[in-house]
Amino acid sequence: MTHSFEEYVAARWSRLVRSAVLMGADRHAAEDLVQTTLAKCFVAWPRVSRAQDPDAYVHRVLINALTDSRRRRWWGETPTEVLPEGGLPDAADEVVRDDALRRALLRLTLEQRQVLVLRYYADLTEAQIASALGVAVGTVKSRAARGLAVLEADPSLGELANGGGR
Amino acid sequence: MNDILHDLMRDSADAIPTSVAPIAAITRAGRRRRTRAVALVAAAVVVLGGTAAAAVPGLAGDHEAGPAAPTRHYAPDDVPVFLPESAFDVGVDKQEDHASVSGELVATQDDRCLVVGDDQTPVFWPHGYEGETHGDGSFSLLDEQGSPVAEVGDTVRLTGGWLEPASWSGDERCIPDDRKVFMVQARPEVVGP
Repeated sequence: MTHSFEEYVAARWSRLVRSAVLMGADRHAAEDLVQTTLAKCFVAWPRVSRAQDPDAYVHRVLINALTDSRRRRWWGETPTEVLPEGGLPDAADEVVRDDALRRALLRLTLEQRQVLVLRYYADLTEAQIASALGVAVGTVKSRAARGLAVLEADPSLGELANGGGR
Repeated sequence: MNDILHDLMRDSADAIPTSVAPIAAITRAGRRRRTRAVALVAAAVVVLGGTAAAAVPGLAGDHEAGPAAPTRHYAPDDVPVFLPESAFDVGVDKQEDHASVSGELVATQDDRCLVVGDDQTPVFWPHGYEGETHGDGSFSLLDEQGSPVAEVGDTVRLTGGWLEPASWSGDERCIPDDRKVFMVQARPEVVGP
């Protein structure tokens, strides 16, 4: 199925930006990176849109852009062991939950984080992730397993998983 | 854990504000990239031992710089590799006025790039060429029909022309900014294992 470039951008923009944020970019950097990614894809769009897997292709370009960006810029990933002190209003529960997830993701290696974000947020299949990352499906599986193990051992995330943050 | 993580990630992501998709700005940037790529290549071609006009026909035509998109179906353990490619099909004969490069086909950048020789000459492959890694660790260069041309470790001879260092809009990972790049214009020849 082919999409016009504009249709694709309109449909995927937010998801791509959020994927980039979950992978560790700040929001403004994420929007810049996604814009650069899509401009690159525009150049080859006639072929991309006919491809077996346009999403995997676009995510691969995005990951390349993220990787290149990381070489030039430090995103300030400073994993911490504790969440902010209490005293938050009830309405902040969601903020705490979201913050806990993002902190937990930042404790993963970049490769593990990429796999989990592509799998559980971007909803790519293991084969699509393998294509996007340029690795074998087996590597995707092992990275996902190790990343999940780290998250399962994360006390703040475990509490959320058990309903503590809801 | 899988379902919980799926929900947590979705909820967390939904809380991330995003701007409206800047479609017009993206398409403008894309057009600029395409124009820039054509202009840079047209200005930068250096053909060793021949003339640019003879060696690079159609250079200023409709140029789609960028890595190839996978267009075929793959076996479960096969992974397509997006190689930097030119807009040109293979088409030149092995004429004397074209440059050539020989050396071992080498995979770099975690199997994302194919380069040639001990000095790892970066390469723009012909239009439609792709790489493919296999479950046994081998890495094939495929032509525009998806047929194997060479394997990593083979000694190949490439025919074509040199491009001066340029900022390219395709897969920069494989094309360093400070290196001349070899643009392949004929089907690569395997000249040794």
